This record gives sequence, structure tokens and C-alpha cells, in this order.
Amino acid sequence: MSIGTPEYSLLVCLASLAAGLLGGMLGMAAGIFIVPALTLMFGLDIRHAIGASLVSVIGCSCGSAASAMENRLTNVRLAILLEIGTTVGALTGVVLSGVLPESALYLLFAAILVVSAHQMFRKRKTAGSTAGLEAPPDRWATRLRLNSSYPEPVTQQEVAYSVSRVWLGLVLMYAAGAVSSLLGIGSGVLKVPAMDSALRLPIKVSSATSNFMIGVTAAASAGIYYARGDILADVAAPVALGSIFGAYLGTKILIRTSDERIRTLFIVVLLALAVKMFLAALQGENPAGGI
Amino acid sequence: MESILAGLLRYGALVASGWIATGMAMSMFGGAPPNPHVGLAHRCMAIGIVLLIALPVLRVALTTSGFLFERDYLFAAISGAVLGILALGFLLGTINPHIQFH
Repeated sequence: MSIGTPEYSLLVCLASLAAGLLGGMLGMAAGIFIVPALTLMFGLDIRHAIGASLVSVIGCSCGSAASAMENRLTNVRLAILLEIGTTVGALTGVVLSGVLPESALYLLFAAILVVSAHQMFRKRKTAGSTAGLEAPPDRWATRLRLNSSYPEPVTQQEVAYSVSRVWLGLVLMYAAGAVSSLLGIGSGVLKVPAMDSALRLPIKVSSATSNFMIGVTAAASAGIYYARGDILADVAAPVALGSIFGAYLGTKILIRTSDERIRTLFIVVLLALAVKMFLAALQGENPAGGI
Repeated sequence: MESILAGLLRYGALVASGWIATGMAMSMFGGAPPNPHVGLAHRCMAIGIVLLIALPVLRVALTTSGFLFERDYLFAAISGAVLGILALGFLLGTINPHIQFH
């Protein structure tokens, strides 16, 4: 099967739909599933997979960021501030991608996934007791008026929250931005745990705010990929179309499930991806198979 | 401001998907190969893809003007800085000597 045939486009579109659905549900972008799917299942060159994935990451974040914003879950001010970190990180990532070997990237990614899963698990065990716990007040969060509130989707009750450790958050977002452009993922998988633990945000707010930032982060590197000619219309078009629709459906599910269930699902997906990335690193430079 | 941003993202993504869907439909049902519409189909898909990449940039620009309108100059400067970083990225992408064209 070759690129550009109707069957190829249809299959890529369906795979992207599934990836977008899962991504939207977890508050992650679909890229984390799209790059492995395109390289392992469709035997595509990794650069072209990353290029197509970046476009889909933007598409997904648009759809789900819009619904999250209408539900007033997004902290726009915090997102703008953290975008400084993610965009500078994205540019760093593009520069770094010329230096690092592919297998090192997979290995790094596997390690980061395990760390995120561990963070999530630790948080989960104490989730019951953190509800009444006051986060330490942050001078910068108060000065920049980042503290806000959101309506709990189930009870419609207004829940106030404060933002802690803004500087740590910015540094973590820089790293997340670099990984995002290195691997062609939205790296919501890094942003959500980082905002969860460093900024101490409610998980629905961190999912929504992360989705809002992902588009800008991906656009910073997608422009460079497009100029290079690494974004093939025949691949990027079906990937974008499928994942946008999937992500739209996924956010509907995120709003309706409980926090606890999202966390459990998140941990399982993180660990499964870590194993997959580790195996890809061991397989060497070109693990592509193709169907 | 939030409803305007949500609208931009939602309808922008919708318009971009529309272009992409049109392009894909043209290349899929345009006729037996050699498909006479293949050039036009590619152009439609490219419009959709470029539009998608431009959406977040437009969103940051809109946020900047929103903060200016609210006379929140600190945050206007912050989102202006994000816009500057994005512009720097595109500039780097077009002048970088290591870029290979396929």
C-alpha cells in the first residue's frame, strides 16, 4: 500500500480517529499515539510522521480547547504565561533534534513516561486528603492574578483554586516544549502531571489549560517542519481530519467521568507507552515495519 | 474574550477541516489514476494544513489585543513575547542552512 491511495488515506484517517479519541479523553494530544502508529503500522519515515503528528496535535488542541473553554475550565492567563516556557522549549527542541540520535530520544521518552506515571500514582494515593489541603501561597501567582476558580461539571459548584510554584512550572514547561518538538507530540502527557504536581491545579483545569497551550507549542515547530517539506499533505491531511473528530468526541467523555477514573486510565496508558518506547529504543535506528 | 477565543479555535478548525476534507474527497473520488484533480486536491489540503498551523498564532495575536483592550499591559507584553518567539521560530525555519528541501 502506498501513500496517497484512497485505502491508505482511509486507514490513516481511522487510526487517527482512535488516537484522537483516546487523546481527548486523557487531556493529551493524539500525537503520542500517532507517531508510533504511522511508523510501526504504516512504515512511514519518522520525520514525516512527526510532521503529520504536529499538524494533528494543533487540530486536536483547537477542538478540545474550545469545548474546555466554553465550560470555563481553562486558565487563560496561566496558559499565556507558561507558553513563554513551552515555545522557547520548542525552538530548543528543533535545534537539539539535529544533534541527538533517534534511539536516545526513545529512551529519554520512556524514562519521562515512567516518572510521570509514578507522580500520578503518588498523587492518586493521597487524592482523598488533598481536597481540604491548602496549597502554599505563591507571591508571583498573586501578583500576576493567576488564581481562579472553575465550575465543577457534575455539581455545577464553583471551586476556587490557587496556583503555586509558578517558576518551577515555567521550567517544567520549557522541558515539555522541547520534548514536544523533538518527538512531534503535544506532550500533554508531561504538561498535565507537571501542572498537577508543581502548580497544584485541579486535574480538569490542568487538562484544559494544557490543551490550550499545546496548539501554540506545536505551531512553533510545525512551521519549521513545513518549511523543510517534512509535512506531506497526503499523510497530514487524513491524520488531521481523523484526530480532530476523535479529539472532539474525547473531550465530551473527559467532562463526564470522575477524576479518579481519569487518573487510573492515565497511569495505565503511561506505563504501556513507556514499555513501547523502551522496546523501540532497543530495536535501534529504524524500527519501522509497515503493513 | 474567552468566547471569542473559543469561537476562533472551533470555527477555525472547522474551516481547516473543511478544506482538508474537500481535498481528500477530490483525490479519493476524483476519478481513476491519473486523477486530473490531483493538483487541485493537494492545494486544498495544503490550505487546510497551513490554516491549522496559523490558528494558534492567530489565537496568540487575538489574546494580545484582548489584553491591550483590557489595559492589562503586563499580560499584553507577555503574550506579545510569545508572538515574538513564534515569529523567531518561523524565521529560523526559513533561513536555517541545514534545511533540506525534498
